[in-house]
Amino acid sequence: MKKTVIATLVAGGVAVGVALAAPVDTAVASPEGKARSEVVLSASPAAVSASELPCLPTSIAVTLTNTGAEPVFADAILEADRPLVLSDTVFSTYLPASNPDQPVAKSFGVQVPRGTKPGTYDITVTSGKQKDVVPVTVRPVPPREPGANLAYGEQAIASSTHGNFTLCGAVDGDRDQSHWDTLTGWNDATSGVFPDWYGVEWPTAQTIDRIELWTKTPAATNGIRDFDLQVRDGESWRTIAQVIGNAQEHIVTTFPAERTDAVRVLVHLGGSNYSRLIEFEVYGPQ
Amino acid sequence: MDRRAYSVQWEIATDERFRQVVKRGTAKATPEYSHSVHVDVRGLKPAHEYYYRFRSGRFVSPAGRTKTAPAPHQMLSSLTLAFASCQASWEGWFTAHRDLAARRHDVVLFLGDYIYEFGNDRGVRPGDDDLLRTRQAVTLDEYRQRYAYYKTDPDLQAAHQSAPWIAVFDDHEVVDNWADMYAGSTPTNEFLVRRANAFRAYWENMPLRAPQRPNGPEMQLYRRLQYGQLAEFSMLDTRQYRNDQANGDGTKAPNAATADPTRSILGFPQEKWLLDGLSTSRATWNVLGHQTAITLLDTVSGPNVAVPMDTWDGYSASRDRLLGGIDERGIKNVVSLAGDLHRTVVSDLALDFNDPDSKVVATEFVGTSITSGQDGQDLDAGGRVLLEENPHMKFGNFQRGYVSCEITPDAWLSEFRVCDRVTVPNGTVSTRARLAVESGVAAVQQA
Repeated sequence: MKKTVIATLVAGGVAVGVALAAPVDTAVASPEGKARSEVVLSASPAAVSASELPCLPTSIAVTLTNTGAEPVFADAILEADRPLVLSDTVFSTYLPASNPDQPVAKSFGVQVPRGTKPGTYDITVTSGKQKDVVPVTVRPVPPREPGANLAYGEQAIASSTHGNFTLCGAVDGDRDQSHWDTLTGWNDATSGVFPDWYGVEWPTAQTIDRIELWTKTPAATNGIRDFDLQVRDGESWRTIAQVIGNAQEHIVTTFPAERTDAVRVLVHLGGSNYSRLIEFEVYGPQ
Repeated sequence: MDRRAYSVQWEIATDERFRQVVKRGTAKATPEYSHSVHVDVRGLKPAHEYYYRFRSGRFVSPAGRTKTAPAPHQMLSSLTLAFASCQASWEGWFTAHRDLAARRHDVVLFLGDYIYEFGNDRGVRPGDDDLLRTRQAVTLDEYRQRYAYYKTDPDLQAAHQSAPWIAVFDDHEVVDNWADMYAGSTPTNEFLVRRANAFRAYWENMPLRAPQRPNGPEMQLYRRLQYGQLAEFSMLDTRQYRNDQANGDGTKAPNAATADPTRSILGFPQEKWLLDGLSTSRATWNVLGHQTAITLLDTVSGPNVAVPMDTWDGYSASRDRLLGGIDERGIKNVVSLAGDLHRTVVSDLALDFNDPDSKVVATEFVGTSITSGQDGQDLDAGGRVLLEENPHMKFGNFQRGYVSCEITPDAWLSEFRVCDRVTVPNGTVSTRARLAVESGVAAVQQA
């Protein structure tokens, strides 16, 4: 993000302020010789393995721990070798002086764009004079086993995604309902407004004949109720199946084989104000 | 993240074109405070208009307008004041701020929910599905990013530019309905880290002086500002020292817990500070600038009563001590200004809300939101119930807007500015009502 100077003026009894969105370029020497930092930086896991599937964003956790006697604020800065993309590059936090120590962590998503060459890419985390490097080994996408879920890790697409969820949440292979609170799954971002849609697109056309949807339970009140399943035909979407009044968690829909580069569920009504999916799975003929 | 520090020159002039510069100086913008500078200028003339600007390198800020407070002995013949709160950026355009800015008030009170911290829906503005706008803020970098985004709004910038601000936070500068060290099921030690992060970003981004600079998770927000003999502002903090909401929060029947005299919404030291200050005030108008309604708010039709656990209703012993203390000490012209409800609620504050003949000891103007709740309507079903069930409530409105006030030694006039729509840009702002309080008579009147 572009640097912003926030200038606040307090004048003659009353405070006034102005935000100044212009970058400044007058460097002033930073104060040196401060007390030695007692903040300990760590990043985990020590190494990460990933494939170039776009919706299997792996993540690392950066932890700052104050081992000193005084509370401090500290920053960690992240940098990833190209073409890896990080969800964020800064972690700033208050660190209390607690006994026992109180580590404070932030999770960073690591995305491997499609087309990334297999190899090792570094994520470098620095905090003050400390540095930690997490190597990310990118492996070729393994060929899918016969009968495998064709949506797993592929590029998800959606009409919108609520700020507490991630676009990739319903193609991450996690259909455990108890993980909903940990933000797996997909929830649209337009309360009370329908339709919403969620799907997956592939770089090349696939042959598919079955879609399995896992919606949030209890399905009657939290799940998707009325919806169409659609395949992409060029620029438009064609409905291949319709469901009205669903109250099940797991909805299996089979249909004559289709060859398409994208598939989606178009939700006309949910059991609540939102459309919610735990997992979106697509299969082809055996 | 830029690790360098920068020097920032500031200037104060009596004219908008800076021909008559009366003060200038240099401050340092450091990364530790997200390159914010807080300049507390002394020695300006009281009750005077000034302009200020900043320069760093070859970059010059737009000029801001301010007006100094009058001298302690001075009696202003008139003071204009605006108060506003609750600006969920994704729920609408800040049209109300544009109108507020155009009026160039003597002072603006912002009563909290300047940002919203939670992960939210896609909003009504272009680009509102950007993750940086919709994700939850927990860490300091995330709170800073949220302020940086809100501050890109040109109408909000204009409001800051138009007048000096006196700001207090409410809950969403930290997290929904936090209370002291409690926030939902979050362990206290984790919550206090978040609170420290939120306080730091708030101080960096608001026009607050050094005494308000937080020390970790502690921040001295409540404070008193004197406007000569005409008005004195007691700015309150009903979040940091309150007991946890009773009965699991929400809207419930009042009971022993809500009336428990050992519970407080201000904390006992602040309650004492407030009443002691009001007792010694020599100002005509004694203004309480704070977060949420003091008045009784029965929200259900019929004989049953259900009140919000988060407002002073959930801490009715605090309310009784405040209103009783005002009466016992003979404190005159107490006007409570608050927000948080996303609706306008104007009430006579009586010693006993259940007795229609009870003595009215103060007046309350709860202002609606800038945008939170989207367009709204003149009077919704909830507003009708409030008016029916709460005879001490004199006016209600459920549109978005702010309140523009004129204060003289004889009367307080509140003008309720409302937007026809906020979910589209360039809505129309008009005056929905004018209500007055006569000096010496606490009851609200039509102006």
